[in-house]
Amino acid sequence: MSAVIQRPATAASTKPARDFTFIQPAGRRLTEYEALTVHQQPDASGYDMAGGGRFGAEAFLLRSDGGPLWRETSTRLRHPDWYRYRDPAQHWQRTYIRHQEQQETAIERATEDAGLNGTLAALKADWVGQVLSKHWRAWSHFEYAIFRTLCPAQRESLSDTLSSMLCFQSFDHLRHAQDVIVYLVELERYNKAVDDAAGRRAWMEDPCYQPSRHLAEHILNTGDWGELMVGLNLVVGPLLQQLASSAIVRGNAGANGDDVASQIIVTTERDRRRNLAATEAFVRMVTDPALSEAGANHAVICEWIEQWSDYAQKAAKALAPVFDTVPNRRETFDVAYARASADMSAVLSGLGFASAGGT
Amino acid sequence: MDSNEFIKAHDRVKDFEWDFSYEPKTTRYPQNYKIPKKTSDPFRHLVRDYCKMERDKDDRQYGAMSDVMARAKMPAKASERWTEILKMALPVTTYAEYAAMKCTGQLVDSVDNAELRQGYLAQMMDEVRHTNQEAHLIRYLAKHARDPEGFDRGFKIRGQNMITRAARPALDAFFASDPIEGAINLQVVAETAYTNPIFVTLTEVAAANGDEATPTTFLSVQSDEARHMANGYATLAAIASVPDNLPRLQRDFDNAFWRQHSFLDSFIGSVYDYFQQNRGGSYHEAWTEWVGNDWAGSYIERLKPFGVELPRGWEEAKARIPWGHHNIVMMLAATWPVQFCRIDPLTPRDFEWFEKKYPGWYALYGGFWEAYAKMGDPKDGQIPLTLFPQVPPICRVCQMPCVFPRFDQSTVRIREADGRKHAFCSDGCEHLYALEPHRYAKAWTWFEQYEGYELSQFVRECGLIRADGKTLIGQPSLNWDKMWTVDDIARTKIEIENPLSKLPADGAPRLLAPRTLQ
Repeated sequence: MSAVIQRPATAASTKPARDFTFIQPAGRRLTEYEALTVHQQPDASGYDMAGGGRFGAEAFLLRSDGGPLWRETSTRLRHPDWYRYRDPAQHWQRTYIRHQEQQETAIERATEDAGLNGTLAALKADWVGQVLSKHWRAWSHFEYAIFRTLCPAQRESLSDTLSSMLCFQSFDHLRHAQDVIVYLVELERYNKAVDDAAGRRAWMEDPCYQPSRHLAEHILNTGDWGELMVGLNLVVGPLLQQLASSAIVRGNAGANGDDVASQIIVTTERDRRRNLAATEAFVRMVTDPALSEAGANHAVICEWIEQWSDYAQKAAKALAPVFDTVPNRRETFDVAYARASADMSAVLSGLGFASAGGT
Repeated sequence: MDSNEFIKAHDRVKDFEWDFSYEPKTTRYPQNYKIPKKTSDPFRHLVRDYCKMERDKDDRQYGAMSDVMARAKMPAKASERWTEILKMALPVTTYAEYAAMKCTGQLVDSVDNAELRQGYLAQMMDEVRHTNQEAHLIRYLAKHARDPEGFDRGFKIRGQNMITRAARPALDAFFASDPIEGAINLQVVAETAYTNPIFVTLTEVAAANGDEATPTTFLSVQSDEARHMANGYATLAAIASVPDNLPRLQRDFDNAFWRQHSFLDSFIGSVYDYFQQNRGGSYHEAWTEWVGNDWAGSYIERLKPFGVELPRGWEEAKARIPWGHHNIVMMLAATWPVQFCRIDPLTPRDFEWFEKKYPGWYALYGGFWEAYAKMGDPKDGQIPLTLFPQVPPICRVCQMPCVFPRFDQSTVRIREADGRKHAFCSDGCEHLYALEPHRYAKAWTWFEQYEGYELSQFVRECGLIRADGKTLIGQPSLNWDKMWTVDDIARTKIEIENPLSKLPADGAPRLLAPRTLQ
């Protein structure tokens, strides 16, 4: 239950506070993000009933199955006040959309320039066919799965600050998935080696992508929003997305003269860093030693890391043959995998967790 | 990208789905409808276009508000009567947006149709936008309006306020059950029937009363709503195209209409008619144009070939429209100490307008408002609630006072069920309860929650006192020289009673009208 927030006007001040008085800022002053986000979601456990009432917490309309609108059991993690969560990026809709619009404009201009200056036409057929049309297009399905699963995650999450953060991450992944498609459509105008159907075929049939598809189906079936945050941002992002997207595509784009692919993935990496920071803040909040639930939460997260690492490592290792199809390859699968594993381990150890399952 | 390329890209972004091979597909939400795999596409934008479109709109709206409108101190120059009601109205509309965001999150997950999903995903971001925009508007008014108190804490108070808490059962229905049932509540009824009266017509009232901040925000919101209406129509047409869905669809449509009508019409009508200073049209006129003609007469009419009929309760709702909200505002004014805005007494000029727009109004309500205007001085210690020999109970389902269609012709009925005594304001609400009584097992009315509280205790505990530590936020006038304090309220020794306790366990009692009406 949220604490009752007392108005900030001091005893000596009888002037009205010309700002919101019902939000406990995380820092010294209320930020715009906090003002426009915190306490938008009614708190069934008490905030809205802080004035008392004979029956305390109430539900005006229960779900069809008789359950509450928001269930404490929607995640295995426990916290006495989910409204204390703050997204380190401090994004609200305007700042988020402005940020994405800037990224999209940069991509759009890079694509236009590359088309007009001959770069797109000059891309080699094996880069376009094997890496862009087949691998990257196959990978866009994985991004789409993350978008899909985070939509109900925001619905079920237990505070407004968590919901808005999950909404934005969801939108990130839809953007990533669509950017692959849009780039390939524009590339088709200049380059005959584009084969859009190759990605779909690979996603459905190629053994390299079946562990990834298995993981994507698991992601779509995961209902625990806390588990999704941990699994996607602490494990899948640093290990699998780094390998599939950053290492294979962005890492080799320069050597293959593809500035646009590089530009697109740089923006997805920026989003990934933001989502990692958001999850790190979340994990620190639920494992804060001052919290009585910290030990239990830590154990649950350990379990998730182990389970998701198993999925992600299998999916990552299955991508090894893809490295052999990349023209002008910059590094081997083993080198890239070792780096991604080390990155994931660094993320986890920074939060007090060990990597699972070895490398 | 040329138009052919755009079509190609758009077709491809709808082709991400696949049949699961490795895990059985699980369902998060019960789905009672069969949805065709392919339908028309209500949303033809890519993420890139969407970001550009929304950024442009954001820049226009926030730019205008932070620049010339703030420098010209426009919010402080708006009609105070009008600005006051925004303290209560805006936290409600903001929650509607938030609930809509939850609804679309469910829809994206559970409606297995790529075309419809395209529309839902953009709507989800739109709803985050609208939530932030309207919260921004409230904060803006806290900063710039003449009287900030109430704007500064409306989100905290809305759950405990007798009237604003009644928004919850209507708006929670956006996401409390089957996702399609939620979509019917949100997109087909609330957005298609009611966003025009809220975001278009109400902005005309705001502008006529010197408030440019609300239209600047609301019209930007409404520019997204047209897409949401298209989502609603595409959803409805998709469901209706499968004959097996029709019985369930008509039932959900009937229920959604009553749920939304029972709160929204009283809420919008009250804001619309009673807080205009520079008067224009009436809510009855706006309702007839937007809900009666456009929604029922045109939109729903187009669904007849599919077998969708006007909702059950349509005629009862129509009968409630001319009078329902007058009774709610009377309750609002009678209980002004527990409200979080100042309520300006009506003047003879207002009486004339009401009589013209609602012939017969003065005979029914004039006496109350004449008495209300005389009860503003704290020295006299009179609260209009004492004019009521019998306070109406609150409906278990819609949480509104049972004063429909008119106080003196209330269709209230008292029932005992599931170990509790309930008041229902209407056949529509009793019907909703009978269909799913378990969904109201934890619903308490305002009177049940606060029975036994002294009025002054409620005011203190709910944070309804201003920064000086004694003066109430709610006041029975706009007169700064005659402000009531919590001590004035304490002297009245009024205790909150639950009127339901005194009503017979089973029946349809006739409510006694306020004394001024006799």
